[in-house]
Amino acid sequence: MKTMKSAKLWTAAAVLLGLTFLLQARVMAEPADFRARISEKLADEEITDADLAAEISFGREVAAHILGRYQLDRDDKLNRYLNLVGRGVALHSNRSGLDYRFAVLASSTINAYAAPGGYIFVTRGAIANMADEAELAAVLAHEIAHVDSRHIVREVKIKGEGGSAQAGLAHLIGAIGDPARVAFKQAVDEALDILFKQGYSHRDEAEADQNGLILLAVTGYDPGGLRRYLAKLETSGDPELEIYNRTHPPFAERLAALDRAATETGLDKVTGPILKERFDEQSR
Amino acid sequence: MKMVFLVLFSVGLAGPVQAEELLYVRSLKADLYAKPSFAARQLATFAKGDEMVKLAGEDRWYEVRSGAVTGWVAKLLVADQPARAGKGVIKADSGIGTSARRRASAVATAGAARGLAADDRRRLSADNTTDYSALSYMEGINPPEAEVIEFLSKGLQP
Repeated sequence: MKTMKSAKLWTAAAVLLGLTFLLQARVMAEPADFRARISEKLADEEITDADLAAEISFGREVAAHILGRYQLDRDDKLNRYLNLVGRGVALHSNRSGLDYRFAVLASSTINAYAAPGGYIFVTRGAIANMADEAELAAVLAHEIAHVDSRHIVREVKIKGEGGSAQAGLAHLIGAIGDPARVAFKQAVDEALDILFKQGYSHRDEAEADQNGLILLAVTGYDPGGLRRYLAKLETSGDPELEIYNRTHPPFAERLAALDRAATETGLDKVTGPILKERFDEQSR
Repeated sequence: MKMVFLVLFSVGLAGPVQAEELLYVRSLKADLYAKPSFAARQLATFAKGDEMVKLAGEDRWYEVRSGAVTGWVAKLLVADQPARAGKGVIKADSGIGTSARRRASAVATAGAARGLAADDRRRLSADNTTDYSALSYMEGINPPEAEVIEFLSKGLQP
């Protein structure tokens, strides 16, 4: 009887130890599996090199269309300055490895545009309404935030594996034949509609404002740059804001949300350089 | 009694089932704060690529641990994957590296890097709807990272 009991006990012990080793092996293997699972969970967050190449290629086409609609301002000094400020901000973004490009558009309208892949434009009219480098950096930070969050890529109605627009884009760009070309052109048109007609969703604009605010502060500029710029535009009544007003949420709504974000993040208590002299020297 | 001991022993051997969740700095730098606020006391500054252990998360912040220091870092500046390698890897007109989750075929990838075919570009440019010459000018302005950082330092460092 005692022997039976003892045998049962040892069997149970063996089973328990076996389970323990299995469990241990699972824990040891966790790093690789863990990454894979996270990748699946965040399928639209973690993109492959092919996805990224597709986004940049798509963005180039959108950028070429923007440059077809507005003339490029070939002021070398101003464009170089824009790239130094913009790339400085972009280095502090979550997608700091992306090759961001910046250019001035020879237009009196007041606006800025971000194409996927890091192609960012700001009009002469917008620059003329800025008072200092912190305001310029703030506008660029807002546009960088749109690219950082891949707002346009998520918005275009192409779905690939796992429902991801990014995967759909990669597949479409790699595909051969007229249907794929037509679909690609439709995606470019959709992106241009967002930029010039319908605008981003209010949620995306709010996200770009709030992430841009943080990005501006982390880079080291005065976090109040965007607020000052938007408040100025709100009261200007400038007719050159027609497209801007059509494609963006009302200023009052944005300013109120910015104020809430500044309070919540503690940035209402932080100040930084505005660099007015450098801005005047480089942009006038 | 022996059974209880064996169970406890087994559980002890199994150790922590939950693996630590790592976060990596994606921004050029990321400051660590004593509270989830940019106005809070600054405890440390991390550089791009530095890793930390995620302890908790809230709206815009992660509570993290790095060595003996625990504090809060802005979510916007970190991710669960390290930043990609240098800029050259992701240039539009360069070759594409390997990827564990590659969705597109080699042909597709080559197509992705090229974008529209040259014929399409000529046609679109002729329609005056695109300007690839201006795009080339834009892509030609390429100040190196060292120059950008020096430019920022001159203006922004106290």
